[in-house]
Amino acid sequence: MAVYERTYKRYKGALTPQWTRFLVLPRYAYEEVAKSKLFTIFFVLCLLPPVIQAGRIYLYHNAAKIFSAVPAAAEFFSQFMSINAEFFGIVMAMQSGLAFIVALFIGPGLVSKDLANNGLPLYLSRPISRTEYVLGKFAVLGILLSVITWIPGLFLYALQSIYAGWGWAFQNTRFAASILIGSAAWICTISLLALAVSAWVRWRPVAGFVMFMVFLGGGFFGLMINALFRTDWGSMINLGVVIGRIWEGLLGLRVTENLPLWAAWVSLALFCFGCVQMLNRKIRAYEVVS
Amino acid sequence: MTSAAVGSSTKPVSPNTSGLDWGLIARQIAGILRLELRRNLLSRRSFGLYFLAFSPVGLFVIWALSPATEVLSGPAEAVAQVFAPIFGGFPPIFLGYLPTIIFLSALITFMSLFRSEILEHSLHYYYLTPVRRWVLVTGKYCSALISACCVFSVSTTLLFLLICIPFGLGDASQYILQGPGLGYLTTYIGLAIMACIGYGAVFLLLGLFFRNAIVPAAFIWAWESINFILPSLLQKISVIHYIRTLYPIPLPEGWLAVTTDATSPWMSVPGLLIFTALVLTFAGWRAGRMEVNYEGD
Repeated sequence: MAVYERTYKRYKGALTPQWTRFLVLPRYAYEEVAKSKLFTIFFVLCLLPPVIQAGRIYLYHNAAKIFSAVPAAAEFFSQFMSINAEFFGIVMAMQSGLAFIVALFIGPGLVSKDLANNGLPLYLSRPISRTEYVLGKFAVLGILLSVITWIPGLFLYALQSIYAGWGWAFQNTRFAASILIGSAAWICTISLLALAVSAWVRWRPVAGFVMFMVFLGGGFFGLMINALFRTDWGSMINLGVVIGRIWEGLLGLRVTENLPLWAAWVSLALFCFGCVQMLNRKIRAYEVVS
Repeated sequence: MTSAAVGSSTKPVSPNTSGLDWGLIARQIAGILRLELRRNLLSRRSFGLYFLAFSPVGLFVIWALSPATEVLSGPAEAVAQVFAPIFGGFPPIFLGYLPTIIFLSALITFMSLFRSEILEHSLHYYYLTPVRRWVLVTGKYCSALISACCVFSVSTTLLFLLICIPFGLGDASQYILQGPGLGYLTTYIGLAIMACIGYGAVFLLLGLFFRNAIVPAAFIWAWESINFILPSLLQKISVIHYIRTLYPIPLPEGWLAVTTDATSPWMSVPGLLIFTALVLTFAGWRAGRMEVNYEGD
């Protein structure tokens, strides 16, 4: 065919389903993330606590066999290391903390690069909407954080169910539901915070600092309000206390904070709503400067 | 022109390798200070420092005007029950003015000394001047330290005064001038300055090593927060350990705390200064081997 006959023709190949298009963004983001050896090492280390806890479940159920020569050790493992709500509470608290560090690592650079280099029109000129763009960036964090929060949590629940029998699993479905709901709430919160901060603060180190400050500064101001005005409502701006209270409520643990459970949920919902509003303001193809 | 004539007209300058020209170094540091102080105190960069330092003051003003002060009997009780825990931190993880706000301010102020220059692609202007790298590090550190010390001295004083004033000027002045108030205030200002010195040196070093120093900073914060449950030897490898022993009003440490021998003030202050000097020496060494590479920033 002569060159001049090669004119524009519409693409006739198979189209990607509309609902999976946002997954293009995580695919490229993971390529970028995997380049950092430090992050890869840290991410693998994040899976170490669940592995240790899995070992603990194994020891709890097999202590009599393993420590048959040392009855005291067998008794210790079977009596004092019981697998209950406190066990899952500790595991999830630890994994939630690690999830925040992972978000701190990769979150600040997710949107800021696109905004700083005027790359947003390039995304939005393709068949991908603003919502899908945000969903795609959210998925980058959401999938990674799932790997270190609810997936190992449910794995531990399944392991305990296998050893203790399905009767235990049916009696304690609350634990599985709590792991899912609590992790989802925490993943949503820190992912939206990371995206909102990344959209508003274009320098990555500064964005990371702001994210860190929201967590620490919010905690300090919450405690300060409580101490100055002799109240407990200041804890509503303390993200650590809020998520801790939610875990306590979900797992049925002993309440250590005086913040009502509904207030913790309201605080988290308002926080997420604020982050979505911030994203809505910034994620636009063109920034109109008045 | 003969070679002899050239030799007589242009006297070769031999580098002074035997000793340092301290007068020149002092002038260079003064020059860096002039430039950097303006940046640290008057530029847009300083907004974070002012916001962090003075936002608690706003809350204290609201408290001073509210009826919440009525439950306290006087300035002494207010300082012991309200100011001391807010300044030193609340157990279990000690979120307080010093371990949180001064920590974060030191992080943003000292870490950005070199990082912001790299992000703004302006570090090479400094590196092209005939200034030794360690002199540059010293000058930048001193400028940030002076800025942080000024801001936190003022904010600590304001917080302390706002705690005392709601009980009447008479009671407040009696507590401050005739009671232990002035001593407490001076000690708290000194502690704020010590925190700036210690954390500042650490974060300056982090800014020289890491492109994104937030994650290492998060680890340092975690280390400082769990300091009280660490074994005695490990407790000493932190800034907060030396500062906590100097609190004029001791704070409850919680049931998890590991009891250790308190470091005396005569050891704490020189210990922190020696630690800072070592960190700064390391930072100077690092800056001397640093190549300006703006790629990826």
